[in-house]
Amino acid sequence: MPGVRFEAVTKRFGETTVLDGVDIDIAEGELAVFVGPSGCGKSTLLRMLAGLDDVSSGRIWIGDEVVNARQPRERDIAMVFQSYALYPHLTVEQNIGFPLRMTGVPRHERRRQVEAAAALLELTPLLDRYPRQLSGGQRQRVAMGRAIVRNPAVFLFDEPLSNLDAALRLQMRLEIARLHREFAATMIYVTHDQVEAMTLADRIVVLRDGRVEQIGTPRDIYTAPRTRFVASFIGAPQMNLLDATLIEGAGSSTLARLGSADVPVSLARAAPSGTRATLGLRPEALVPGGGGPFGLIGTVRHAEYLGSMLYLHVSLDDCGQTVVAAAPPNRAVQVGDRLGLRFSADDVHVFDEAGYRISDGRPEASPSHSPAGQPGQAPVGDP
Amino acid sequence: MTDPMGPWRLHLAPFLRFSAVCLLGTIVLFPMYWMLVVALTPTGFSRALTGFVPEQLSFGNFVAIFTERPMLRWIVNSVVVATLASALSLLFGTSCGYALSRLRFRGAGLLMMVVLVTQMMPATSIIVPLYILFRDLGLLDTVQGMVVGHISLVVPLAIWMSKGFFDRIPPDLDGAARIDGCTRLGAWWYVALPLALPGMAAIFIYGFVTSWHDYLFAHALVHSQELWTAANGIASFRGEYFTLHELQMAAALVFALPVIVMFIVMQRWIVSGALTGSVR
Repeated sequence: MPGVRFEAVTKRFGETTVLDGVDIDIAEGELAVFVGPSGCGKSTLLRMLAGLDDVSSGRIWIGDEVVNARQPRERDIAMVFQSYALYPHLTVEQNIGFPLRMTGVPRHERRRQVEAAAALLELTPLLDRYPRQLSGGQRQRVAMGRAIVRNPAVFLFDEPLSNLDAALRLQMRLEIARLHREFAATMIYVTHDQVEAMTLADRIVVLRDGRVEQIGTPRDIYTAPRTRFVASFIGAPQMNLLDATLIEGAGSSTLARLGSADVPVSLARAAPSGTRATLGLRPEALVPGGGGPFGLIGTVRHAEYLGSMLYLHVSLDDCGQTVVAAAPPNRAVQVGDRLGLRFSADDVHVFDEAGYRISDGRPEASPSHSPAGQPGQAPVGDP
Repeated sequence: MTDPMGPWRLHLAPFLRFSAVCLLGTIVLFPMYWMLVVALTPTGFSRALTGFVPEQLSFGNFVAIFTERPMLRWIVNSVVVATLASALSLLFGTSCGYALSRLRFRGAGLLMMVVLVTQMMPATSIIVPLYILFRDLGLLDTVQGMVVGHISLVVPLAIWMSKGFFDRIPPDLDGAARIDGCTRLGAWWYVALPLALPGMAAIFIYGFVTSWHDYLFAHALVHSQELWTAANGIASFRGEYFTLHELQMAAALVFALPVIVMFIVMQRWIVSGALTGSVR
């Protein structure tokens, strides 16, 4: 199975630049997830790879071949659309067999392959039905059947689960993960759902405004977000971002003043005293009454009980900002309670005024083999 | 508080609705009924009718239009011209409509407006230039000329209608087909066209009826009686001093039948919900 490479890929619609010099390298057999907010260009990137949209400049490689000028049917790809895009006038069997029919596979061989794909996806009893007679989940499986039946070099998924309910989404997510294991194929998956991204991806590509913000494993992205945007986009509830001032020295001796607390932070590069910065703290890093050496005090404004977790929205005394802290579900807290939140300096992420990460701490980060991209730049090695 | 008019309202509303339907039905259907009555009245006796039902039934008018006049020839001419004009309009209309629906190019909106503007001009305003053009091209008094003339009447709306039908087919289906091994033409043929069948049936019927009913072009562009369409033929029953109403009504009835038959045959294609299940 070949890999995929986007090389300085740009897409313009008239005066509007939708993608700006995107460089992404996806290894053979990898499942890469493109994630980002609406309008970030992730679906356009996928459609350009599929050949459904033209590339304004740059090159797209599948394996060792540039495919810019190739028609969609010549790229040896299969795509599952957000809308499923099943042919409504054809039965399930005809839908799954359509790519084989178009490539001239004889009828009996077509039938055999369709039945094999249907068995894999538990669609055998539905082969004679039309798409309108199927549920959302069944339609999604037919779309996947149509993709796998031709055994393509690269699978593309364009937000395939966004029209399903939560339970079905989980089931189909597991199904896609299983297919990836069984086929060991290169897969590119586009979503705006970070849970899908975190659970499915070998590597995540975070996109924003047509540029790559960061490329890395889910663990890399979560534990060492390269920008303030990635920090806030990945993680639910999102990372608490607090305004602070760097007050002393450089390197590991720097202190960040957060309200009345001075927190030692380790920076990758020196920053002059008085530099404005943003400190990031994940909700689970803020422990109510916990044992960390640093503390913030505030008033509980809202409590969200999720069964396995209790999220507390706490308005801080010192700076007036509200943070979300994760507490054990059995903790007795009332709205209006005064609460002390403790945290460790290792859990603090520091971003400069431009939004780039300047702390070098990477708590729990796993060794990574993957390339990563600075916003708008070519991929570079891991920090 | 109870409404004292409640029971009245309950019974009055359906009664008024039913009355309105009956009235409208009478207005629409009575001319056709009267056409049938006159057609079944012996030749020359329609002016003597005193009631709403014929005093004696006669099929002589129907026999006469086929034996004494070349009604069959005129009907065949009409069928040939209307079928060719609507089929060719369908071909032009769907290919243009698909291109305008799917391809992004500069001036597409303007092109659509220009096409629409041609439809706003009355046919009478273009008949003289068309006559001169056809005379120069040698298309006057030919079936081909009449077909081309009728295409010019039908194609603009056929383009607009087919663009509308193709717009309703999700572009993802074309994309899926192109990834699955189709060329653009293949995606049109295997996916878009089968899904647009109901719309195409509507366009074909529209084209057929427009061509079938046309009198102006058929009258202006064709002189030879053997090339007349049925619309021309029916008009020929009206003389300078008298009109053969009974024969004319019989011919009009025969003239209406093919269109009715075509509606019955093609209505099964005009079904809604053909796209259900393709998306979401």
